[in-house]
Amino acid sequence: MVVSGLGFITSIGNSRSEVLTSLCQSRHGFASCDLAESKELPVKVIGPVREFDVSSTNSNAWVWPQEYDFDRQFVRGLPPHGLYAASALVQALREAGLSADDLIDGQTGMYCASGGSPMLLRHHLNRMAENQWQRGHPLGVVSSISGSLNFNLAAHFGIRGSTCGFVSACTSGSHALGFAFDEIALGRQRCMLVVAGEDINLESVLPFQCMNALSSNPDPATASRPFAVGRDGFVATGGGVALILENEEHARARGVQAQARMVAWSQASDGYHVAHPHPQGIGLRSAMERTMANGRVDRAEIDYVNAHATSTPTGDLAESLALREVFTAHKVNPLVSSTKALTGHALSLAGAMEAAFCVLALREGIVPGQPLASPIDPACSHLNIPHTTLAAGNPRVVLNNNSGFGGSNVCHLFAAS
Amino acid sequence: MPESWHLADASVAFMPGPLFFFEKSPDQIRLELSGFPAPAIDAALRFRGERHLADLDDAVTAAVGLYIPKGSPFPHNAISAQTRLREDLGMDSLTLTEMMFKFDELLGVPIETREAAHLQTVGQLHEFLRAKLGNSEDLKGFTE
Repeated sequence: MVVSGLGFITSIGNSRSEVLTSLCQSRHGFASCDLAESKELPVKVIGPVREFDVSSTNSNAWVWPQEYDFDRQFVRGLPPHGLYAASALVQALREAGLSADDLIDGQTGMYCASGGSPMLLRHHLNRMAENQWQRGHPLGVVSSISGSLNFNLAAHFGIRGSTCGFVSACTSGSHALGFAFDEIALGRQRCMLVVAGEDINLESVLPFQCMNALSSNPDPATASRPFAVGRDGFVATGGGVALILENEEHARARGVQAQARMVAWSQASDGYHVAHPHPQGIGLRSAMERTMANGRVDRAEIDYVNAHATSTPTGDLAESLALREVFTAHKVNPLVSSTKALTGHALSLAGAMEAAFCVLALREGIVPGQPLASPIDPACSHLNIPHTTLAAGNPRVVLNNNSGFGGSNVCHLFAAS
Repeated sequence: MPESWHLADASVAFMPGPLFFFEKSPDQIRLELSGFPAPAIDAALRFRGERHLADLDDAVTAAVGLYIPKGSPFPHNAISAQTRLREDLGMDSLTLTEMMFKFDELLGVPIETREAAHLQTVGQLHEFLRAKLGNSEDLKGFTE
């Protein structure tokens, strides 16, 4: 199974080359943010998406780069992140050398991940309430509920194979990629488009403040500090990412260059709490072990782990303990970093985005570094975290970790092609 | 200069609500017609200021242009009262419903989907919306 195309609309860049530059330079994408014109709100930093303006509830007013030729009939049904995701998919399809005709053969499917658009859902429901629930926008449902991405993109791109949307909070993107892998492995599809997206606006960010999950650090340079002392929550981001996954024979027959191989994936759950991970990360530990077993890879072969770590006190600790049991306890010491130190936490998009970073790392021979704003938490000191990106790290086998609400944990295993 | 972003409450910024058209400020009308062709916005603002029904017709005709599906061979500048919404402009039922909801919001008059289902031409649309406004008790002194 190979990844043949990638597309990025993220806080650290809106193209493969921009993202690669940011990763190589360990350049974060954070900015100060004024939320709802309220100085009372403790959240001061976000990871914005640049060059797009999807802040209005009126899609006719949206602005996006001209290179993406989307017509009004397509855009009218999209959530804001749908524009990010569609743009990323255009990039990925171009890189994979897939044309519009290639997508409609019934052998190409699309799995998507997003949390829907709370902004548009709120807007459309408010409008209905103002009309005494008698009238509302005919596209209110399809533009706002959590399947919006797959509804719109599958229709627009003419997908006649398997389509589905995954809703598992922060593991949504990872689940979409994992089940896309299975779809090909089981012989149901030859090619799967995996597309994830998330809004970055008031409604997508501030509810997490109610859970005390967001950092109140006002400094964009230090607010996101996974595994570090003083971490106080994550920095929210959004965007869109796409990966093209193909049967290796199919890719070879098309003459396309593989970016990396996807070897295996697996998942396991904590069975513990709706919002907090198990304190020892038992589900993530199990997910990592199962993934390596599925891929018939020994833990000593893992060169790099892209950690889920979001910069929350409990989440990062749980993952570090899981990594200790899986690696350190066996005297194995892979490089570990959380690219959320540069991007922030992209929620439903995170797993797919970071899988794409893993593919990029394998293809370009880098190990993403994690600049540290403060010393590593002593409880995480066993982790082998590079403070700067290793330009000649040349990883051969990479593990991507991802955890979410309800104790969901998903891992992917990638190898250099 | 440090980068700074402003995340506004979009639902508050864009609240046409049940406001009748003539109660809206020019800025509110411009906001609601963001993305529409400039002639639609200009005509709508003229209608708000001078209440000539011909300006309403012009605004509606220009606004209809936004809803023509991409790829339709019908030239936008050829839309007339005789132009058929479905056969000539290629609008489907979802687009027609979307367009009528926009007029509902913009003019601040309730338009049920079933009321507009019989409309065939742009001219009938003009008459329908004029009648909708004409049914409002707040109207005074419209001119042609």
